[in-house]
Amino acid sequence: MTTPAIRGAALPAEIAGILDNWNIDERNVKFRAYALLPATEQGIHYAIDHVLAEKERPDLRFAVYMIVKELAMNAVKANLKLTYFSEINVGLEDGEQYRWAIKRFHDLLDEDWAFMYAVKSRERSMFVEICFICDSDQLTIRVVNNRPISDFELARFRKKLSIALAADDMQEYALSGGDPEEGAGMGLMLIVNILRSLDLPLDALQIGADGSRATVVQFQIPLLKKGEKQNVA
Amino acid sequence: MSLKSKLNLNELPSDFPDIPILRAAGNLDIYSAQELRKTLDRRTADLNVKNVIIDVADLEYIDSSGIGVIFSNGIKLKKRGGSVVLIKPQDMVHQALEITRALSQVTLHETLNDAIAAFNPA
Repeated sequence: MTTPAIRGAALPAEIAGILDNWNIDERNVKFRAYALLPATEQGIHYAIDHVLAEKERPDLRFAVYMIVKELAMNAVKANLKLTYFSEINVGLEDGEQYRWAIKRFHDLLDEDWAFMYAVKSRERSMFVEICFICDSDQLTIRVVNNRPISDFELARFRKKLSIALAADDMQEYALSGGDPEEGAGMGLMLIVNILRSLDLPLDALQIGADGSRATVVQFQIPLLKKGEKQNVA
Repeated sequence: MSLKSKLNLNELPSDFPDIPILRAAGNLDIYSAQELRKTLDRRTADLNVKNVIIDVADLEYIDSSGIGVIFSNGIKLKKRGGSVVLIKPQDMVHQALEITRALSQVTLHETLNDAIAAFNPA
């Protein structure tokens, strides 16, 4: 595998050797993930450092990392879950069986298990592409699952997001029907709170479909500080 | 590279049977949050337990799953008149709790002795 060069420096071999389809230029990075493993996290850190290198916004680094990690985990978890459910013949709309299977899934989910099912997801060509797209005044993060979201899943996601957006804090979220222990719901609540902490518009987070081919979750962060104007040549 | 769960969770001896003291080190994330949840479920099954102390001085990372477990136990204990108390979170954990606005939902103390003293004022 050829190690891509970034500004004259080689991508660390331990990252390049594990993650698929690195694609990197001066402003943008994208790569594929099958589970959230230590190498994936290294890749996320590396990509954030790269795209924010010349932006003088170190204050955004941790927030972007938290948000990307939540979105990436949510996406790869959906694929791991689907791979597992397919093995045990449980559908996403199977009611009681689904509830049993999701509990079993959470009981099984550790790094060893995630690695094993990441390999299976890869064999089934199910992947998540994490894209960092940087221009002069905005960073766009796009997490693309190459599997279309079902109407059932989209409705669940939107319900969780609307509960998170309506809640002023985590306690209100829990009391309004949000499940503080259910991964994606809690992740969305935390992302909403991060956006609030950064004083960013809450519609910065969007979910949609790329035709019938993929599910896209995206958020955009302005890179200019308040009152700062874009330098137009 | 180890692929084992990176959370190291222990229960420490406590002079107060109704105040369990846990120590969590490493990463508290989606892969390890269940371990903490099960331990807290077991230790708070006794309704006399109103407070739980978790020493997180050696916890390096927490994500939404970990925050969710701590937070849901915080709600449970608050109903009993108590709380989840965290001891000396590192900068990264503190930052994660702060930026996600979860900090207001837990009680923080610098040392274990400070936490115990707060429960048993002289």
